[in-house]
Amino acid sequence: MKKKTQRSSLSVRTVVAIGIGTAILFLLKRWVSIPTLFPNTSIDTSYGFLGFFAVLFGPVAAFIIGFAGHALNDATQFGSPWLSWVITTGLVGMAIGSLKKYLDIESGQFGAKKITIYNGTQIVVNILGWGLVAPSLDMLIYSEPANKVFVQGIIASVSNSISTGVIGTLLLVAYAKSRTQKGSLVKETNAKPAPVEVEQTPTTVTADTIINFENVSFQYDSQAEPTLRNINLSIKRGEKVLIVGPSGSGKTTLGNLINGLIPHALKGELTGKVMVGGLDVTTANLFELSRHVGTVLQDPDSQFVALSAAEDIAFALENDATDLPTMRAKVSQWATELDLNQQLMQNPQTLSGGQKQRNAMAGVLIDGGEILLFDEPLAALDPAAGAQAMALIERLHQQFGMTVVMIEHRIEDVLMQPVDRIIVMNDGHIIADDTPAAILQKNIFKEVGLREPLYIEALKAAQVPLTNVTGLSDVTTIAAPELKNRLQAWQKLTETDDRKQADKPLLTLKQINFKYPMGPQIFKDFNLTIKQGEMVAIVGKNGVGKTTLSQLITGFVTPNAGTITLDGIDLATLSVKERADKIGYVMQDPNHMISKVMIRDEVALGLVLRGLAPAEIDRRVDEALKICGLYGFRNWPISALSFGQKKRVTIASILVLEPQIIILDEPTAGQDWAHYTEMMQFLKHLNTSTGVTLLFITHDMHLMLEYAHRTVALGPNGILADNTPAAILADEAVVTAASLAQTSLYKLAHRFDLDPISFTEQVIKYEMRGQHE
Amino acid sequence: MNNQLFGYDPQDTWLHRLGGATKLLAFIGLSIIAMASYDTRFTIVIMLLTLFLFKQAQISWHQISLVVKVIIVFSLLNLVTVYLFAPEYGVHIYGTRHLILGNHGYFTLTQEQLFYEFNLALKYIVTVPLALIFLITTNPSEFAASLNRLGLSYRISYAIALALRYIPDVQTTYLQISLAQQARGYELSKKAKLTTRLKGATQVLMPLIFSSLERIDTISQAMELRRFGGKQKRTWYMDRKLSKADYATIVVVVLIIIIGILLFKVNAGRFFNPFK
Repeated sequence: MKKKTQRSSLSVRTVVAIGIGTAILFLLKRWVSIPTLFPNTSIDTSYGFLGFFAVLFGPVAAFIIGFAGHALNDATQFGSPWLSWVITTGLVGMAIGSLKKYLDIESGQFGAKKITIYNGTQIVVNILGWGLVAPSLDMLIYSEPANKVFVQGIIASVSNSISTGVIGTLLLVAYAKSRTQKGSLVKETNAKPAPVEVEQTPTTVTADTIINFENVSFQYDSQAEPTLRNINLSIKRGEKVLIVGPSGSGKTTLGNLINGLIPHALKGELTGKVMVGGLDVTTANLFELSRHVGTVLQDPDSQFVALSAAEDIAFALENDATDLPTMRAKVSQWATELDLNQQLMQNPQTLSGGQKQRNAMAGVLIDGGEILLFDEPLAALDPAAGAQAMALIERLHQQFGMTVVMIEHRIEDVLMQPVDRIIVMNDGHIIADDTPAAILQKNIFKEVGLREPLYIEALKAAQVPLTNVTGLSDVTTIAAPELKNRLQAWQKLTETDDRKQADKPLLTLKQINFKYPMGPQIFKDFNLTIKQGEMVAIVGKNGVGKTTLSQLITGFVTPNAGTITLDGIDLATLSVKERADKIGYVMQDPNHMISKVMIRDEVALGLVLRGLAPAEIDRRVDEALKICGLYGFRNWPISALSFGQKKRVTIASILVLEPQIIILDEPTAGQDWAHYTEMMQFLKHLNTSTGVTLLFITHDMHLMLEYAHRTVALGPNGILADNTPAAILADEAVVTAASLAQTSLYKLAHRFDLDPISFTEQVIKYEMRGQHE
Repeated sequence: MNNQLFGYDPQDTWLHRLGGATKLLAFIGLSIIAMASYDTRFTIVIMLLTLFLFKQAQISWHQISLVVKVIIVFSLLNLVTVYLFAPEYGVHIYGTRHLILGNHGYFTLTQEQLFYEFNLALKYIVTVPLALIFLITTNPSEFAASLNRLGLSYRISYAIALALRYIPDVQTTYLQISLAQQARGYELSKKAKLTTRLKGATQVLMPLIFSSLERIDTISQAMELRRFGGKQKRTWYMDRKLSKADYATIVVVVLIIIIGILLFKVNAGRFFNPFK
């Protein structure tokens, strides 16, 4: 019975595909067309996209995407939709979409035969649609003369079938390629020692057990090996638990079992028994489970699905068909609770990361569930907002007695607030399940590739035996005999700073003024000099102009006044492409940069487009691949790589152009400590071996302390401070203004009367030495 | 930013207070009848009525100046094209021939043609004030609710809301990707061959479209975790109850449509013919 109703209406995934597809079609129609050889004519790229999405999502979705996207474009451009053409776009999409079942693109097969069928169909459909349907509708609706509309129709059918054919086929081929090659390669095996199996006896279920895993194993349909193996775990009502583990350890999968996405939305083989809030996860449906577990996802922009804050808070209630007065009352109650009253009518684009996350919390708290599940709550926040989020979660935990489960790998930041228990995962197993203090005493975090809190590192550096330390889980409570003396004595052994002192200026920004049209003034009389071979961190609150600064340097935007020079050359004289030969820009999300299927092609792309000789291209590509440790993978498809490896591919594709300076936007976002270290050591090596200057835009205080020679903190009125990283963090005024957060070392230094700057530098140096060993 | 797209300007006129569903219905109804009828008197009356409503909605010139300019250019271009293709189309429609200029050549100028093109111009622009009133006085959030109220399935209505929600995000991502790819050397301008341009465009679009596919999965999971699609119907936080003004508006619109249909009878067809 239930199955039937589901089949008759669109799946949620299709609904979302229609929404996003409509947005993309609108955008392409409005902004992305290719001029042709004829004057004033252009090829509309949106039809190629529509053909692709039609084959992926079927006729209904394609009709709505075509109709709505085209209508939105017309309405905002001409005031009112040109009906005949809008309807035709929908119909063309629908007709191509009817091929979905037949082409079966998900199988990964899209060979010559299917390509011919797709193109044969689309040509016929485009001729019929634009050559017949649209002109007929034009005659009917507007009474325009036949010869005019048919000539227009013929031009449109040619141009649109070129777009549907060329662009659509290229997209479909690439999609099919990425499908087949995903599973066909043997996954890179990390030579890790077999995980130490902790003797895990099935836990006894008591009255206050709220989450219980009994011998649970899970394997995704798409994977060759189980992601979770024999998990036994019990969480009590009102507990606050932190789940940590390196990338790929199965911690997110564990979270997806708690909220029911597994097995209901993500398919795979599940054995064992998971009970959540008294429900068996396999038999209860996702909707029932969501009343017990509120999930706050990692990406705030994906979680925020409504047009305004208030609607997003009310989203779950809307789906329950709750009446309006009840909704209004509840939204206002939770908005007050989470301090969102001022933002209720705002749209997501105007909210800060912290506000979006609070909004997401309000949106799940409104259900009154007893469990709050956070997937990497710190990932999208700046350091100060992260600290506030942790404090808020603690308050909710205390005030409402909520059970809190956090999945996060930034242990130091989570431990700013008390946590009852830490569960450490590795390779699909739970390898430790204990109080924070007990786990911190052992060396577990480092063994699995996670970062220990810095104050623990400091204690180890000063050779304070951890077994003697009490209150280990919180830097404000740790105590041990002679602790102060030991730390002070250790600090006296100061070493001289061996960081390279650069002196030759490379990049100079002089008296830069910049504002976006309609926007506020971002830079006014802004001056900055970056020296040859430096590694500089650019930090500051979101929206203060960090990205704009990099766009000014790369030439994506042009300053209203002032000059930017690189090595004495005025950059204003160079085009974006020419600047790219000297200045590389690596985006935060590698998926936004990658446009080829194979690694080698991707890395070679910039050189191919610059028309270099093949032998020279091969030489440079090989070299870049070797530097980036990707040479062994050179003939692999990119889809088989991990996030960190993809990031390296993008760095390699910039390196081949041999730039003098590389700007990296959040180079380590979303990576665990092992991958972070690998990436940063690689960049450091790059810096020392090739002398390339590196500019990091980052929120990561560790990155800044460990790798930057210099930190530039941006504020609303230009540069707030420009100093060594440790000195920047010691200045509380700057820390507050730039939305940074002091590490635990500063608190430790403060408690034991140590000089925070030199103490921090010393601990970091000790820590970095450890990484080489 | 999302309001900027729809041009929504929150004010407090009776047109703003009118339900989105009412306005959408009135817009569709009046547009269809104005499109169907070629009775000049009727379209002029509707035009004047919509201009009056325009004033009522307190829409300022700068909000619409760009759109109006685009429409004027577009309409003129179309009118000239129509003339170039069929200079005697008016004669064909109205059955008489009152020559103003020219005689035997292809390009003649007749009163019938001028009158026909005048009607055509009216048609191009008559729905524009209506559409602009709708766009500028309707809260985009309420728009989805009103689509649902008019009987469109809530899933499709919400898909439209999602499109409005994510257009600014997609746009930002696209700009970023496009710039980064251009920096690597893609050439999309006229300097390159057409095939190169097409391939280049695909390569620039590839990251946008493929990362959107991943996004679709994440968003649909986020929506399912908050029970979207769990019930046969859903309510809308921004929904508005229909008031007396709504019913009155609908009655007036229905009356206008009836008049338009009656005129078909009077004129014995779509065209009002002053030349008979």
